[in-house]
Amino acid sequence: MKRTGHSGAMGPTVYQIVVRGELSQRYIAAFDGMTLATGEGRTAITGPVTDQAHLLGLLNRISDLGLELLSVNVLLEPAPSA
Amino acid sequence: MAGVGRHPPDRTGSRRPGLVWSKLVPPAPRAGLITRAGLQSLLQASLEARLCLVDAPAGSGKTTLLAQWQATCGGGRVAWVSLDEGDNDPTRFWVYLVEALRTVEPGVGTAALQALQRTSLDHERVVLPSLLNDLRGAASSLVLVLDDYHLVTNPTCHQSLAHFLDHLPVGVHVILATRVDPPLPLARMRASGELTELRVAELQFTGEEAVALLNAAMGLRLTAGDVERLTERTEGWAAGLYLAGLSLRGREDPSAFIAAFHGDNRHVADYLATDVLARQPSEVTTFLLRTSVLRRLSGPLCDAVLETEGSSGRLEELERSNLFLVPLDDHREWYRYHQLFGELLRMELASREPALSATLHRRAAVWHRVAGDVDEAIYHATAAGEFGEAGELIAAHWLACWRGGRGTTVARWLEGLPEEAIAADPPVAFVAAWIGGFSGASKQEWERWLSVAEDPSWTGRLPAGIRSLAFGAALARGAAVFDDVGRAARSARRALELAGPQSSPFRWMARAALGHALYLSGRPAEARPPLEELVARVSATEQPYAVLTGLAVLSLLAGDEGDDQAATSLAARAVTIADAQGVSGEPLCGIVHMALGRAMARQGDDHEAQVQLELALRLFAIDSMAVHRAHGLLLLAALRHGRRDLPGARALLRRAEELVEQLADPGMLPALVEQAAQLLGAAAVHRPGELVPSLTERELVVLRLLATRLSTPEISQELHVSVNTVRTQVRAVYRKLAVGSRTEAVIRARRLGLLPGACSPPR
Repeated sequence: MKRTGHSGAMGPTVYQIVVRGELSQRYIAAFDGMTLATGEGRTAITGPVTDQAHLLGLLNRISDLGLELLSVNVLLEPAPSA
Repeated sequence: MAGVGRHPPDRTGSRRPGLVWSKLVPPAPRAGLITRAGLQSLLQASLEARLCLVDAPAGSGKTTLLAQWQATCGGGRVAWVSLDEGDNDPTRFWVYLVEALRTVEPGVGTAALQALQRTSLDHERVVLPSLLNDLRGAASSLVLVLDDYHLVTNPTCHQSLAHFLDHLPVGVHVILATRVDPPLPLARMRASGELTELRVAELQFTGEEAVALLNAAMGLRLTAGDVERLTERTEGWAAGLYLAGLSLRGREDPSAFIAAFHGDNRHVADYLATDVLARQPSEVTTFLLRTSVLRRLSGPLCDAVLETEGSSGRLEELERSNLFLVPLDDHREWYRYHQLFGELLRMELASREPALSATLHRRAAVWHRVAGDVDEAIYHATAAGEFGEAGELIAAHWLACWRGGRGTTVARWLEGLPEEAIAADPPVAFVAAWIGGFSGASKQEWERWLSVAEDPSWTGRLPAGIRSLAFGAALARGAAVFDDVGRAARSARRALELAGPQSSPFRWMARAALGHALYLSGRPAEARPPLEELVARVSATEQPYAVLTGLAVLSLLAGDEGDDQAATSLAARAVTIADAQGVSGEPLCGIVHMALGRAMARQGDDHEAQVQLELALRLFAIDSMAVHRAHGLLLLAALRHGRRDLPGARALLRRAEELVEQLADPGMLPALVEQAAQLLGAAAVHRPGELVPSLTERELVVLRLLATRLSTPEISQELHVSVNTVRTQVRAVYRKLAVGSRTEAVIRARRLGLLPGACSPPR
């Protein structure tokens, strides 16, 4: 059962995860709902992340695929609810 | 080939169904790989310490290293477990560990296995002591290897393993192969020399090792410069070097390829896997891609999933020609994909034939269902999007799992289903509510699933053990109190009515729930009969939770009537049973510890009473046990008061009060809260000459209502205003009276004459 986030905020947070190595678009299948952008020997995996469990799931996939994690950053916080 | 002296896993000896004994067989060392002598000596030397951590990213060659070491240096004294996500269930985790140890020392862990078979959930106290004792008697040194430990994330497993490591007898060593530093006390173990580590730095291939792999083992003829470039590009990563080797086989101009590869920015595995796949014959590629959806592969399973023939032969051939397939046993019957390559294959499949995955999973689900592999069948059905099928399996098998102490497994099955699927399947919704209610689900979620379960139009199959969904839902509502004691009592009564005279695994639980709820409602005379009947007639082995609840509540009742001796003996009986059944770590057993704690406080054993009450409060930390938590806080407050810790007692009382305020129907708790407040003299003393604070008309009305048993939501209804308005007014009242809680406010107001009824002197 997926728990909904308890922050009460409107909309998910947008994260950008950077890994070493340029990944082909085939990897999109592994990161459902995210976009891949490559350059300078790195790939930025960007997209909306529902909650911590979702984020940790993405990081696990990165580990599963033998990718080297370089950074994890919040690009966009959701607007707080009224 | 298993090392000399190893006993094959005892399939017949273990009566536990579904033991996948191939998890206990160390992988056979593969042809075409090098022996990394340097690392092997490091490993051997590391066995001076209790724990050796082999901790590096996917594809670093950990399993290969350990498998080789086991075959050459193991001396038949290596127990092996290949862990997977399913081993997050603590019961299953320990079953595999014990069975693995038995392959090396057959007599070890007999008592432990029995305890595990009996719904044992408190492993540290019930399972481990006998296991550790057995190990002390081992003939000679032995090593337990746990491969893929990063797949274990359940804190209970980590805690029990840490306990195991702490008490490991001399001569027993553990090796954990993992991709992630495990949450074990590593710093402490490092400091005391109990831990050695082989990390990515140690596992990186050296130049010499790369030459040995590529030129000697893989039969290439690369120049020193080329090997150096490859090693640099892959950073000595085993999987990268191996893929590069595959890519270079039969190439006319390896140097050109290596130069291009070296100058490319693409991720190593991405670049090379594409290339390697492209160079396979197309039917091999198709086979690889389509079977990548399977967690375990066999000839017959692959034939079914691909609707073809001859898969057994193809699997053997593939195993010979490359390392993508890992054999799981000696007979070449079962394989799995190397984790990293499997991921790459699945991604490629999703990219080339996206619609095909679901079909492949569906076929796998059917095959596994027929073969009786429930876990695999549910996994594939869920992956195929066949939620109805998955739901049917869950509904049929949940009870055996839950009673067998494997509730975590059922929770994992449910996690795989989207909410809409559960919402459309009343039996599954019942299971979700039941499991969730005792493991931390919110009331909202629980209510949601129960209302689905109560759908009167459902005429389909029922969950195992439940004669009607109406009964199941009533029982769930009776057993998980959340914040409404009255509702729990009514629902438990209804469950009994619906149960009728037939026997069912849950009929006695309904009685226990009823007795408990009636007790919490402050109706002791009505609570006794169902509990006494249940305790007299039912065996604890059959219905542990029901009997424990019965004994615990009877103990509390006895204590209330001043019969401390009876209270103690009933609580002691409950605890003995809980320990014997190994369930004392479950939220449903918090009540046992609470009853024992209170009985001990009365007998003057304050220290043990505190231990028991604190344990009860930890177990009650979930939403469904809010009422019990408040009760526990009050008992602990009384204990602190008895130990002259007035500030501590008052803090606990305040917590209890705040909790009780939020409960929709707190039963007898407000009365207990008031008693406790009197006991603690919590009211501020009214100094003579002090001005009586002036409250507004509205505030006086609210104050009068505060003196009743109405909850804040009920007060707001009474006054036809919002809850927030009431809260604001209440805060103002507290401020003006210089108090911090409802009880204090009432007592103070009475002293000041703002409310009728003088405060009686403290007892």
